[in-house]
Amino acid sequence: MTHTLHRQGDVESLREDYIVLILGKDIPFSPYRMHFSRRFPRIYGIVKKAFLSLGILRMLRTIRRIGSGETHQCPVFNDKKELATYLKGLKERNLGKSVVVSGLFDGVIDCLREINLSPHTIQFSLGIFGKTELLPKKEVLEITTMCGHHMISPMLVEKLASDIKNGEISSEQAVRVMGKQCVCGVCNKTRLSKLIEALAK
Amino acid sequence: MRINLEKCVGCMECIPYCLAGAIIATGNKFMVDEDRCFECYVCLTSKVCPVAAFEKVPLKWPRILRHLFSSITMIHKRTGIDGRGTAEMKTNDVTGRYRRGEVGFTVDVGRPGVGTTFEDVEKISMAVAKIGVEFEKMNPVTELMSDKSTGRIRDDIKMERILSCVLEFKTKDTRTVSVINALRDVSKLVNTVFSVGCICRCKPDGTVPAKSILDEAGIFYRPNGKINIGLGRPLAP
Repeated sequence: MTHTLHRQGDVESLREDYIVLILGKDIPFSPYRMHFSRRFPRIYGIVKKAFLSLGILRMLRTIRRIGSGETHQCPVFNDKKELATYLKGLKERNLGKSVVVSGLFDGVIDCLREINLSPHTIQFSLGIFGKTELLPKKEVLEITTMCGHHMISPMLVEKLASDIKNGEISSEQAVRVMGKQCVCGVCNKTRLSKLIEALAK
Repeated sequence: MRINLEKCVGCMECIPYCLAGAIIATGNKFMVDEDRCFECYVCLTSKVCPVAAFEKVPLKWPRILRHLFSSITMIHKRTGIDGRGTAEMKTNDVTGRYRRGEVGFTVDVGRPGVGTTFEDVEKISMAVAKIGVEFEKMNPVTELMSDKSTGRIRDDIKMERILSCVLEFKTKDTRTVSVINALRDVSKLVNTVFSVGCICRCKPDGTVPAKSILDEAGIFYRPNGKINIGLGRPLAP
């Protein structure tokens, strides 16, 4: 899957949207993991064991099934500083696992320079070809492309924006509904909130 | 997927969730249009139905492909990977799938959110095969080709509707522009959209040969993309 490659949006909006994907069976340093391990050490031990044997996506599904889907997400960052700190930690751990960072090239490369790394392989998005008239409007597409597998339907986005406008729900509630659809957890909720609020206006 | 009409209360809560627009009215209740349905199960997994009226229907070949290429929870047998079933450049530092002097392409057919049939996938695979590309073996779409040299897809699956799939291939970097031109030409013949990714192994100093090729040819690329930062341990030097 090309997952986080084709996120739409202008540079200003993407400036606060970086995603890290680690190809392996354990994700170190994630804040929710530390929080969870402190609050529920025993459950954490069981989860970790299952995590190691099942792999990331299966584990995410398992966690959802036991009703705590909000506790486990992919590392998504809102600024370069946080990203650089996280990547530095990964480098020092020397896990030997592939790490892929999605976001503005300039921003990611700045972070890599800061920690004396250089890109190994790059993937460019050359855009959308074909019958583009079948696509929803730009503002909706910026939201739906945030879920790499496109599990958030454009119609749902329009409905939630309309509900916010009519005062039936808050933007936080709308983000929760959309975030639930994105099983991998790669939706950037801060950006999602801004985009759905702008759409509702 | 089907809706149990005895349970359906016609509340319409499920309609905005359907990625295929496949939930249609029948009287004051609703049913799933089987032709349009991607079998992504989003209607079921979102748990939006207040009376649990959605019911899975056993999927046989070739309809099972709809689920495989539309749900993210399915693991593709050939590659052992969820989602669209390929690691593409994400593990290139470990696998060496794309080497210097080569350029890789990912063509997400049906993406974003429009969906496609394998008939359209074949139009694209056959168009790029003429240029002389090598389809990736560890990719679930390549596995569905009856002839990997021409990009022909097996006949029995062509009308199956899926949310998206990733065509993946590589060629010499000197053919980059030819591939993109072929994709532009075939884009006029398909009844869907496709998102194109271009993969390049960087030089030791971090420079990106494909960037110069794209810039010289005036080919658009987005300011955001994906970078493998090279922390993986290579399987082979």
